[in-house]
Order: sequence, then structure tokens, then C-alpha cells
Amino acid sequence: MATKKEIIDLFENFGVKPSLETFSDRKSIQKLVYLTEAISNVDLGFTFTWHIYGPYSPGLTRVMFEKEKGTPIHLKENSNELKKIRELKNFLGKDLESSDKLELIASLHYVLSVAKGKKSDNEALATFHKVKPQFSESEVNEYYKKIKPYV
Amino acid sequence: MSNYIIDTSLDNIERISKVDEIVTLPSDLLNPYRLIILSSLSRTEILSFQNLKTLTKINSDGNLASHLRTLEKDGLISVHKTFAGRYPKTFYELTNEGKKRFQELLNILENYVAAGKK
Repeated sequence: MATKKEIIDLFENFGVKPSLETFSDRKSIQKLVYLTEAISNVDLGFTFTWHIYGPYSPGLTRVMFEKEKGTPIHLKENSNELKKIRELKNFLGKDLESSDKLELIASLHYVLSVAKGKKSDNEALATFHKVKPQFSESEVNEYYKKIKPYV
Repeated sequence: MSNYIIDTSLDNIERISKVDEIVTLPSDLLNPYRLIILSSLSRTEILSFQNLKTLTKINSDGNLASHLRTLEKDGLISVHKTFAGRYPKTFYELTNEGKKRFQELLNILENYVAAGKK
């Protein structure tokens, strides 16, 4: 797992200062790290499980709250990985500023990935609506089209 | 499946989401004394203040009355006042809403236990 310093550096690349102050701040950290692994294919060494607010990594929480040190992954020295992170920043655009939007994108990606090869996208979307009823159908469809190429 | 994803099925995601409903339950319902009151009333239907005091082991009348007021305010129990001889007596029972909410709580807890066994 990456170190806390590397996660902070990662967020600098997104132009975001990570904070553990509010629930919304912590949710943004979880979802952005997930999307870095999932959409950018940058291996930060965290594993994610489903949680009421979408993909969640207990390991990431332990690293951010300094309960665990993590192992350096030397992200700063890897220009290819940094390029992929910049692309993710452009891909997310304004959504980077909303923890709810990040929850929607990360959760949708997670559900589609779990269903991949086993269930149809329609079945995955039906599950998504059941577990995330707060997001409208049109909103989900819009983001489905956006993230489908990355699943 | 990608190595950063732990869950292996949509059923798993749905099951976990149901288990997690427990954190969305109002804290009013998760108070241990109020749970004992609801549980007792669900089994016995009508209980007096004294019966509830014995069952909940709450020593203070004021404390028990406070829990009962909260449940009444939430529409989960109803209060009936009557006289036993010359003495006033108060009885409590679950409302239909109280029965429904308590059953929902039991269902969520059963899901929680079932998920823990898998």
C-alpha cells in the first residue's frame, strides 16, 4: 500500500488538498484513490470492498490515519503513471469537487466491474439503482456511458 | 476481476447494502433500553409501567418515563391510562407503526447475522 505522503502527493496532482476533517472529505479520498486504481490503472496497492457509500478500502483509512505506514510505490518517479493521473483529472473535471459525484462514478464502476463477464450491464444497473436509490436514472445513464469504456 | 476489487458478485453487494442499513436506523431505535421495551411489548402486547420497569431493569422512574415518551413521540407505542381501584395505572402497547418498525429492525439484524456467517 502506498504511503500517506504519496497519497497526499497524488491529490496534489488532482489539484486537491486531501483532508480528513469531514465525512465528505474522507469519502472523496476513498473514491479518488479507487478511481486512480480503477480508471488510471495505477497500482497503489489498496483493495476495496463494498460499503454503503460505495467502494471502500480499510487499508487506505489505516494509512491516512497513520495506523499503518504503507510501503513506498515511488509514484513521483514514474512519469507514465503521472500522465495517467493527469488524464483522470481531465476526465473527472468538475466532478472532482463533489464527493457525491465521486461516489456515483466510483460505485458505478465497482458494480459494473463486479458484474463483468457474469451478468449483463442491465442487471448491474438494476442492482446499482437498488443499492444507490439516491441517484436519478438519467444521472446514472449519463455516467454509465462515460465510464463504460474503463470497465 | 481486477485485483483491487474484493467482492465477487452483485448479490454480495446487495447483501452488504442491506446489512449496512443498520447504520441508517434512527438512534432512537438502537438505544438498548428502548429496544428492550419494544421487544417486551412485541411479545406481551400490553405492559404496565411497573412491568416495564422490572423487564428493563431501569431503576429510575424518570429515566424509564423518558424512554417511553421518546417512543410515544416517535409513534411507536401508545399509552393508556386507567384506574386500578383508586390508583391510576398506565399501560403501554406497540402501535401498528411500532410493530412494523420493530419487525424491520429484526429483519435487518437477521441479515446482519446471516452475512456474518458467510
